Amino acid sequence: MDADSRSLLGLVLAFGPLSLVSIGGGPAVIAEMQHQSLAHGWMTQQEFTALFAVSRVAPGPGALLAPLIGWKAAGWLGVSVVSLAFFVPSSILVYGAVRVCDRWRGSAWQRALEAGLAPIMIGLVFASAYAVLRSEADYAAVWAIALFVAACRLALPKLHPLVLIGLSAAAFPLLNGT
Amino acid sequence: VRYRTGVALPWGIDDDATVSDNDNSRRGRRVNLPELFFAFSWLGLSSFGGGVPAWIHRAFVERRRLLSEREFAARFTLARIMPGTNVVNLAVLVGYRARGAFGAAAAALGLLLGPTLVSIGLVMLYDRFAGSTLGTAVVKGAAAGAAGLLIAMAINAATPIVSKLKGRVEGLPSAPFALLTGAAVFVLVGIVQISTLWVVLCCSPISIAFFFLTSGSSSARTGNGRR
Repeated sequence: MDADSRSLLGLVLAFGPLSLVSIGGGPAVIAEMQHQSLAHGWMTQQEFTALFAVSRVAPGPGALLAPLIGWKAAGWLGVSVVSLAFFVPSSILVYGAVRVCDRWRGSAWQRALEAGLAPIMIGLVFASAYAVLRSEADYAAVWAIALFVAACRLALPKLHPLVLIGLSAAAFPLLNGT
Repeated sequence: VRYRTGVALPWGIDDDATVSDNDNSRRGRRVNLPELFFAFSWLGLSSFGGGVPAWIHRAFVERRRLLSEREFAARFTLARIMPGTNVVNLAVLVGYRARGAFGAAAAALGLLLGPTLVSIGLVMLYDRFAGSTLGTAVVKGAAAGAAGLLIAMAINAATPIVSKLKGRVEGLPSAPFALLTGAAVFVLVGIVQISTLWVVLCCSPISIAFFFLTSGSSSARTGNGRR
């Protein structure tokens, strides 16, 4: 098998299973995406950080980080392969669920699913934020910005998130004296 | 209407949705496949920084009257519970309601295609300026801010659990267990760096089973006052 198809196979094997455990969506599995991207040598940490930033600034769901990783790893073919591997399994699962869920909707099972998965989603999202921040650990400014943005978002929920990201982008070069 | 993850939506999450499907099976006109595709394309491309579920609600509940409030609430709950991107799941469920399997595919494809192309364009643009120190610093700052938004999202989702711990919210049993589970998942995935796959596969059955067993006993205690 040549390098290209090995890379495509790696993308499918990484993103297919991830699709089915992405509880609460893309943010829950960013830590794992970063780990896989670096372990497979698809990109450098700096490139991953850039893709993460783009996926949060661009329109559409933040889960588009996945096709962007495919693009970096294997071009347009990578985008197609990752999109299918990451979005199709979970879509089929929810499609199947809506066809059977009428029977258990509002039941104790649904409440248990919701209550039981919520803490796991919360832990995963914290881990994702930590994974992104840890990779820039040398910069106290990175942590300061992240915590400041989190505080602003909680205190001022009406402020558009893009404003906060824009301020962060401007603040880091200033704080770091670039 | 603005939407933040972990915050109750204005239309609420409805437990009594079982009656709705029959009541509202003949609502409004039918939505065809191209209309689904382009409506979701527009929703995807115009959604900066989240808030898509609120726009889907406006487009398909308020304007096109494809779903009733209750149907939408039930589908939104399902989209959040199931794995996968919430918005993509919701698109699949709304598209399915409109046009079956093809509708689901058209809605999800519409939602993802445009934004994917825009994002790749942005990455290409970034790659042209990747060498410059200023470009790198700007992107690092943006990434730090985006990570801060993730922290806020997780804190928002954890707020009801903490309120329950302080005895302010009824109906959410076992807050200490939930906090412990969340902390354990964070430590295992974030610090020990065990694969997310294994952590989720091991922790979620335990957590769901725990809440299933405890909610059964708590609803028995309160005499199951919901209905």
